[in-house]
Amino acid sequence: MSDKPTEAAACDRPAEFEPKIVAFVCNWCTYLGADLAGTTRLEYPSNVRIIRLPCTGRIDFNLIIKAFEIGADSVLVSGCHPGDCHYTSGNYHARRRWILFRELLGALGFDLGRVYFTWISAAEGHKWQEVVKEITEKTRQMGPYTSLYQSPSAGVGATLVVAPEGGHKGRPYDAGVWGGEAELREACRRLLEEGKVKVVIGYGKRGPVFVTRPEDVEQLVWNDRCLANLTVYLKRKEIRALGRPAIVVKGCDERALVVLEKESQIDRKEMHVLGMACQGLGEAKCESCDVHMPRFADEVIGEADQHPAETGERWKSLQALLALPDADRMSYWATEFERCVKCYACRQVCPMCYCERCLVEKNRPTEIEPSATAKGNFAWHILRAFHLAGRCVGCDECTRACPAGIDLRLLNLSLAKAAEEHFGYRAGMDPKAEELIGAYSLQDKENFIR
Amino acid sequence: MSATISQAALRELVGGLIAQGKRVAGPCEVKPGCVLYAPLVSSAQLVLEGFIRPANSLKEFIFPKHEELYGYRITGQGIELTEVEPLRAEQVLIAARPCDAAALPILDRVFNWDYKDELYNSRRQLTTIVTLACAAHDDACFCTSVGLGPAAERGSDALLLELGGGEYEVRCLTGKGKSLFDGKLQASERVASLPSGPEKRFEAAVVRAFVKENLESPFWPAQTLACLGCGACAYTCPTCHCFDIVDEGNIERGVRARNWDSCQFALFTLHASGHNPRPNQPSRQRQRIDHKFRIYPEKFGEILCTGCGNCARNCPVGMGVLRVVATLESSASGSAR
Amino acid sequence: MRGADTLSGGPVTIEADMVVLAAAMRPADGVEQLAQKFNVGYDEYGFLLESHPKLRPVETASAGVYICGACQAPKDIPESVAQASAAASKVLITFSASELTREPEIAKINEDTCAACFTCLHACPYHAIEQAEIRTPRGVFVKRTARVNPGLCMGCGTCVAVCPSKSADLEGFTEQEIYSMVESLV
Repeated sequence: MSDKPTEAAACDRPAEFEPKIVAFVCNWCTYLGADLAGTTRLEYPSNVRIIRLPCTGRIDFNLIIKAFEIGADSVLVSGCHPGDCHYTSGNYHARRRWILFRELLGALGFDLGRVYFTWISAAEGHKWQEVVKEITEKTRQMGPYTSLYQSPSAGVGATLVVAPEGGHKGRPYDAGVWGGEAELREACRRLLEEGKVKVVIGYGKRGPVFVTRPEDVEQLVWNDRCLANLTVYLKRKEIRALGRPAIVVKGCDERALVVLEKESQIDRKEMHVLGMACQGLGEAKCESCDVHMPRFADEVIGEADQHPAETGERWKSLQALLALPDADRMSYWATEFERCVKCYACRQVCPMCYCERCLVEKNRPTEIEPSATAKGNFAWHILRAFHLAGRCVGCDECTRACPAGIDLRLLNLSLAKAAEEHFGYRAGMDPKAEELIGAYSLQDKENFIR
Repeated sequence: MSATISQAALRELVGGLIAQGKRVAGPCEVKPGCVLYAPLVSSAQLVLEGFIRPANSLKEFIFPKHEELYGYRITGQGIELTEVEPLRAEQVLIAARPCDAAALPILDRVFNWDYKDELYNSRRQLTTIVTLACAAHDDACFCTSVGLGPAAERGSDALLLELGGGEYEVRCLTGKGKSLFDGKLQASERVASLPSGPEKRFEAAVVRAFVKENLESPFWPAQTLACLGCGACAYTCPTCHCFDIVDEGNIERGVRARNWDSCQFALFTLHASGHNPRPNQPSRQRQRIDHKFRIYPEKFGEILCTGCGNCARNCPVGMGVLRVVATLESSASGSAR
Repeated sequence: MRGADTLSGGPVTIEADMVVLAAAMRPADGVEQLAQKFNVGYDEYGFLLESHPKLRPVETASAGVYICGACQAPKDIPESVAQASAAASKVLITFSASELTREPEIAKINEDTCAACFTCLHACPYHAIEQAEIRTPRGVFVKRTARVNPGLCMGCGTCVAVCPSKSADLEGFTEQEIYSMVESLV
C-alpha cells in the first residue's frame, strides 16, 4: 500500500479530493493478483476498497448501483480472463450481463467513464497496480460523482421532453369496429359450447373480460382500442382457477406467450390461442411493427399486411434520448422519476413480471428501496428494465399504464436495441432461440473490457 | 354583483406568489396529453383549460408519497434520534378541481381521530386552495353520485367560475381565500351560471346496503377479475390515505418514513406467519368498495370518495370504483342502467 | 555439440560422450472438448489446470475430477506414475469416507419465493440445479421450483446473479453479507 499524504495530516493545506473506488473482484484471479502486487511490494493507491467474491458471475448489476449510491466515485469490476474462470464459465455469464448493463447505464445518463471492467489474472500483479493507479488518477481528474440521480431545479424538466407523442388517455372507448369481431365471437361461442375451454380471456367494451358462458360472447369486442396485453392474466391465480382458457392475442402480445413458455410459466397445450390480425392501434410501437399477423396461434382471425419493419425504425424514438449529453440524459430521467409514485402499475401489467415475491419487496438486505425518492425510483426502474433484458417483447403496456406519464418504453427499447445489435436476439420471436441471460457465447464482444 | 379576475391577472397573482417564495402548484402539461398537479416555477406552466382533470390528486401536497418521520444515528454511545423539520413554507394550490378540494375535509377526520397527525395538520394549515369549477366532464366523472358537483365549495378557500372571455368570477369562501385575492379583484355585474355536472350514476345508499349484506356474494369474483393489483387507483385517488412505515438506512444512520400503500397490493394484509386474510384480488377489491362506501361512512359520516374518476381513467384495464359500483348497484336494485 | 550461450552471446562447443534430447510435448487433440465436458479448466496450450499448483496439484476445479500425467504438463514416466498414485489416493480418500465433505459455499434456493423460471438452471456451469415439484403430503401439486444439488454445486454464485427474485443465495457470500460489506466501505 502506498502512503499518500492524506488531507487530515496537514491542517494548513486545503483538503484535496480523494476518489473513492469500489472494486468487486473475483477470488481466484484478481484478488490473488492484488495479493501478488502486495507481496511483491508494488505500490498502488489506497483509494480502492476491495470486495472479494467467489466469481465475477456472482456480481449482479445491483451491487454496482449500490456502490455508487453509497458514495463511490468510480467502480471497478474485475475477474479471470475468458477461459481461465475457476468455475469455468462464470465470467462469460458476467461479460454478457455487463454488455447489456452498460447500454442501460448509458441510456440513463450514468457516467460510463466511472465504470471499469478488466480481466486481471492471479499472475498480473503489475496490471492490478497499473489499473488502480489509472482509475484513481482519472477519477481524481473527473472529480466526485455528484450528478448521480440529480434533477434540475423543480419544474424545469419539461424542457427536456424528448419522448414521442402517444397520449391515449382520454380517448373514448367506443371506437369503430374492425373486421373480425363477429368471427371472434362465433369462434368463442363454439369453443365454450363444445367445452373445449372454460373461459375466454378477451377484450370487452371497457377493458378485459372473462367470458365463461356461450351466451355472453357478445361482451367481446375487437377494435383499435384493444390495447391491453391479456397474456398477463394467464399467471393470475383467480383466472387459472376458472379452468382451461382461450386467450385473444395480437401479434405483439403473442410474443409474450413465447417467452412465458420458454421460462416454464405456461404450457401452450393447456390453452387455446386466438390470434387476431391487427392493423395497428396508433401507438408508438405500431409504427415499426412486423408482427401484424400472429404466428403461433391455434386459430387466426382476420388478415393484415405483414411488412417487415426496418431495424432502424424500432429505435427511432430512442435517438432523441441518446442524442442528449450524459448529464442531460440523467436530468431527464431524474425529472421523469420525480413523478413516479411507486404504484407498480408498470409491473402489474407486464406479463414478464411474474415473480411471486418481487425483488423490491425483499428486505434483509433491502436491495431496492420501496420509497418514492430519487434513489428508490431510479433503483426500481433500473432493476425492472434490466430484469427485462432479452425478455421484454415491447408491448409498451408499462408506458400506457403509468399514471405519471413516464416513458418507460425508452428504457426497454435501449436494452432491446442492445440485445439485437450485440446478439441478434429479439425476445419472443423464435421459440427455439437460446435465452439471452443465462446463456453466453465465446464471441461476446469484449472491447470495453481492459 | 360579483368579484372577478381576468386570466392574465390570475397568472400575475401566481407569478407574485412564486416570487414571494411560496410553494405554488397547479395543473401542468408535463407531457403532450398528460396533465398533472405539479409545482410551478413560472405562471406560464399553469394550464387552465383543454383537459378534464389532472391524472393525479392534490393529496401529494398535504400527505406526500414519501414523508420522513424522524432520523436515527447509531454511534458508539447509543442511538440518537433526529427530528424532521416540518414544512414551514406556505403553499398555494391553484386551479384545483372541486373533487380534489372536497377530499381534504374528508381526510381530516381520519388524520385527527385517535391520533392528531401533526405533519398532516401543519401542511393543511399552511395550504390555501383555489378551486376552478369544472366546465366539462367525461364518462368517468361521478361527483354528483357522492353528494358533490362541479362547483362544490367544500374544502376550497376560493372558487373560480368561468365567465367566458378569459374572465373568472371569484367566490372567496374563507379568510385565507379573501386574503389571497385581497386587492386583486374587480367588481362586476356578471355572475357565472353554475355548470351542470354528470348525471347521477348510482345511489350511494344502495351501494352501502349491498356491501353490508353481500360480503360473500359471487358478484365480487365475477366483477373484479380484471384487476391486476397495482396501486394506480389508490395513489391517484384524492381520498385514499393508507400508508406503510419503513426504516431505510444502514448500520450507521437512517430514517423512518411513511410511504403510500394500496389495499390492492397482494402484500397489503400479509401476516408475518404467511397467512393473508385477503388472499385474492376479489377480496381486496371488495374491501376497497366496502371501506369507501360503508366503513368510512359508518365511522366518520363521510363517503370516502369524491367521484373524481381518477381510478377509472388511470386503471390500465379500465376498472376503478365507478365500473364496479355501477354494476353492483344495477344488479342490486335489479334495474338496467 | 555446438550451440549458443545466451548469456555471453557467443558460440559454445561441448565434447560429450552422450547427448540426451527432450522432445517437445503438446496436449492431445480434442482435449478442450473433453475438459468442457468435465467442467475442468485448461490453459492457453490446452494443458488441464490443477486447483492449486502447490497445495492441490491433482485436484481440479470440478470436485471429483482428478488429473495426472502429461495432460497436466509435460513430464516423464516416473513423474506421471507418482502423480497417478497421488490422484488414485485422492479418489480412495473420497470413497473411503462415509460422507462426502464439501466446501460450505453452496447455493440455496428459497422455494417459497422461487418463480420457477429456471434461468439459474441454464446458467449453472456445473448443471447442479434441477427442476423439482413441491407437493402436499397428500400428493397435491403445489408449485414447481428450482433446487440446488449440494453435491454438485461449487459455489460460484452465478445463479444468484441471474435470479430475478433473488430466491437463490450463496452461503458464505449471501446478498446480506455482500451488501453489508459495500455499505460499510465508503
